[in-house]
Amino acid sequence: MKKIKFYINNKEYTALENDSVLDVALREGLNVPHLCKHPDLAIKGNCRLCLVQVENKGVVTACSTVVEKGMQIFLETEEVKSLRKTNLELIFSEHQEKCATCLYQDNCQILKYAAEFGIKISRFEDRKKHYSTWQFGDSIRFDSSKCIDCRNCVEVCDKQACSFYEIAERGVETIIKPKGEVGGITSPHPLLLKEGSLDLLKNDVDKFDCTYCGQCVTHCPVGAISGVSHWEEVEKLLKDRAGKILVVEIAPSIRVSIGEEFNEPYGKIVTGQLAASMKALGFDYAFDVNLGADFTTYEEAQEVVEMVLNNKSRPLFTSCCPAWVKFVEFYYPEFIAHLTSANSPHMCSGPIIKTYFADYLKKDPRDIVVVSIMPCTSKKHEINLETHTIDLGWCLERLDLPNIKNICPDRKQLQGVKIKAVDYVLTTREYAHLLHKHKIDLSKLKAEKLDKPLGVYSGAGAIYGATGGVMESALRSADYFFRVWDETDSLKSVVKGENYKLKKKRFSKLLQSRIEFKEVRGQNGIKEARVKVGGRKLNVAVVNGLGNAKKILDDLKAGKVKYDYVEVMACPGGCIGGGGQPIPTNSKIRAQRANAVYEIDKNLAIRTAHENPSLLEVYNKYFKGDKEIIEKVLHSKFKVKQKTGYTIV
Amino acid sequence: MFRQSLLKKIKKSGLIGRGCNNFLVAEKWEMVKRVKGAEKFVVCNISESEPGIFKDKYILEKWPQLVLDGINLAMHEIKAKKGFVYLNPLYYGEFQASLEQIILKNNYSIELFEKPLHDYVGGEETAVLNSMQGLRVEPRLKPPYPTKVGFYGAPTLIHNCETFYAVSLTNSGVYKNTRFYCLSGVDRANDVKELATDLTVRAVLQEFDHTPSVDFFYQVGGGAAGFCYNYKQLNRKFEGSPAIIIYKNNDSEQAIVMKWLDFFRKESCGQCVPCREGTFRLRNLMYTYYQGGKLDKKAFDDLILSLQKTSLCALGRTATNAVVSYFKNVKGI
Ligand code: SF4
Ligand code: SF4
Ligand code: SF4
Ligand code: SF4
Ligand code: FES
Repeated sequence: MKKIKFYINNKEYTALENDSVLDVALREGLNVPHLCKHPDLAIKGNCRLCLVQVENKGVVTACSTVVEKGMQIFLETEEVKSLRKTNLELIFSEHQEKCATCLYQDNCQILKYAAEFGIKISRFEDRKKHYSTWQFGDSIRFDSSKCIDCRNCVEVCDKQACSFYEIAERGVETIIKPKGEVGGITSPHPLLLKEGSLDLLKNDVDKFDCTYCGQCVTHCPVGAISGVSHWEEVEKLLKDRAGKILVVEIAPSIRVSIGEEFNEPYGKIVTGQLAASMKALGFDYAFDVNLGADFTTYEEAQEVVEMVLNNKSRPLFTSCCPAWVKFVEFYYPEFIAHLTSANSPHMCSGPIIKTYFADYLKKDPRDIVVVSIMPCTSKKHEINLETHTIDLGWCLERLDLPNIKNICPDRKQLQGVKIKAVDYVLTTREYAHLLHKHKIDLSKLKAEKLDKPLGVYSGAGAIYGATGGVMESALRSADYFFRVWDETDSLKSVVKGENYKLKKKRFSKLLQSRIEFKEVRGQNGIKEARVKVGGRKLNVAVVNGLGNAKKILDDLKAGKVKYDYVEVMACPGGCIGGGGQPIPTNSKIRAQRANAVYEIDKNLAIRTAHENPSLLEVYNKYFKGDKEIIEKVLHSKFKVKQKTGYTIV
Repeated sequence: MFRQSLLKKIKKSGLIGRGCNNFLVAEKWEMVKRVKGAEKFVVCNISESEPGIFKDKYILEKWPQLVLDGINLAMHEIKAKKGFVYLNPLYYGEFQASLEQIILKNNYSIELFEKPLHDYVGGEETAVLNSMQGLRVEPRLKPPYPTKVGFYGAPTLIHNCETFYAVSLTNSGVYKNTRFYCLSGVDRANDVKELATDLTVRAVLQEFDHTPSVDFFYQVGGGAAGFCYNYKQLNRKFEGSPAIIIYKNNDSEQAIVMKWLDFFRKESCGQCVPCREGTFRLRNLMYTYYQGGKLDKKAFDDLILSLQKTSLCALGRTATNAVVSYFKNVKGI
């Protein structure tokens, strides 16, 4: 690649072809303030903050200026400083400061700039005081009185193939908002177009809905969009338990990202400190959703195997990402039957905690509160789904829960009483905020261990956080299940959770049994592979980002591609790039978090779900091979979704 | 043979684009030609939406055939299969029939496109492209320029209607280095004259039979972004559009200033911070002042600088031309 020499503040630097001034400056650790530029998105150049002086050209925006040979750039001339100041003051006039309730307060970019530039935040009167807050379903909140009209959310939601936002009106009346008429604000300015010049769908607001992926949240530079907050209620419970047992569980991907909120480097693994922090905050039990992930794998791999053995219609899609599930349910209902019914990881551990573990504790399930710490905003939606409630009457009837039966003897009374499997979902950001608020510095804590009996997990569970992880975990176990089938003509021992010892050695060269499936790893949006598992060949695809998912679904519909098994994660890079993750999140950061996830897997003794003793024990002692019970506890039902849209709050 | 010679002729004539940024027509054509293998388009921009400018209408009335011929010639030269005439809604209503008739008769592969709104920024060349693609009507970041990335990403040649008229004349060897001047304002009906390209403002006023005097001031370059000059400052060439608007010196300052500020506040596309906020704040600042409030001079200056130096497109960058030059040249402050 061509290298270009140029100068910043009279010092020579090297740029690659097409590098912008901002690219180089940031790479070199030079400070150029910028808001609308996000490495995942197109250069929009609308915040006009990244101003620099170019000799013979005057003041330009660094993000949109491509470096030329010999260019002389000055980052902080008096003129530049004064212009940046005015523009930042104008930006603040569009952003109603509500710092006290803002999760972003811990690392707010504009406040940081404000201090750096020494501006008066209130120089120009706030213009958006009366702007609405909209809530999308039960997961996302958009406070438009904080919006600085940078349009990142619009672009990222378009990329997610959901196109839930629109830019309406013009000039100073411009407003970023969910599509359609909202509370007195008139709808998009009319683009009267000629036939064929526009995807007519675009104006049909009912065809678009939010999937709660939260990508707009992580791409908003000013915290105008956030997950619906659960942390306040959790904090209340921590202060006053009201007789409840507080159980908290952490998702696979947050141990490699939360460190960032405490100035740790990207991809730092902080599992032990996380465990300590949960105890320090006062939770009674801290578990690992990695175990839940092993359950998901165990069930899902059986579905893969059965699909192949019984030659069922293909492909099978993963379903552990609720945003992806909603995408199918709303945009592509014809594929609902292809979703694996295996619950997502915390929806496996949740019900087990409220039944099996409740019994172990001798507690009424209603007195147990489960809090999941997730990289995700759509999980806030998932926990409210009907399919994820626990029917207590049924539990007492069917499950082996002697202690609970003692506590709640009157079964009739509990008939039809349903409780949530998981009560609250905190995003990585919310949890970090709780820690900040309670002056707990995660990076300074001494590592502790997560609680047993639900704390043992395999490497298969650990890699769920990265795109390809779910697929790889399932392939590891499918490989084993196929062999069990080949040797015993059934999967009975699997369903029973017996640790069936294969007669043919698993890792002999001849059989090529594999743990690692590196072909499904990596940050590419769509990965395809032909893999050999258990002596069968499978066409698999791994997709991350809903825009890519749309492409695959359209290709499947058109008969252009054929797959047996497809993993889809709504967020770029999978959950390590989730909508609940620390801000900033971008491709570089995602790659580092993903590496860390694979690092965890590599260093574990047990790397497959089917070898996880905690899991086998639950199947063995608790499910006892009863398929109906397994179905009820670990599987979900999906249905066609109508538009939920938004409410004004 | 014939095609080569057209580009040569244009080169030789040194024809300058009749939009507002004074580029060499031949250069633009070469840039489009240079892009290999791509589908290409020609767009004739007739959005004519700045107050005080009405020469496109005049040309459409008198020489629609020459305009369309010019587009067709350009299409052949750059090997574009399709051309468009982008017309503001008023002109579309008025000229659709006559233009379509000519297109049909000549079997030109040219289509008319009605501009969705009669707005100002929608005349900026990249906003024209957005508009035609059904996107928001607002300018794109440049570069890339339309000559490389234009209509649906294809290399696109965009000229104002007058340029195509001049291309036609150049092709037939009768182009005489003229352009169209617009005059409007106090006590006058709108008037257009075709005169030599390099006249001074004073000379043009003379051609229109107006004698500059201390009673008047003049906005030169269009009724929105044009600069204001007093009667002594007219020995200058035109920058931007060759349009002059005559004002009475004793016209109400408030009415004039607020007219300009209201215009830009309304016409800002709302894309970038300095213009979206700046046009609004500046307007409010002056409004408060004229209502008897105090003028925050520092804010006034800061907003103007931010608009001029940091706006994304020319609208914002030129939005304060009139006000600033009015205070300086007319009011002497
Ligand atoms: S959460 Fe996802 S789908 Fe919903 S508005 Fe944001 S980006 Fe779009
Ligand atoms: S909500 Fe945030 S991302 Fe969206 S336009 Fe406003 S500031 Fe930008
Ligand atoms: S990819 Fe992960 S973080 Fe993103 S929506 Fe799906 S489950 Fe949530
Ligand atoms: S300067 Fe004004 S018109 Fe131009 S892009 Fe910015 S907001 Fe739009
Ligand atoms: S970061 Fe360059 S204009 Fe916003």
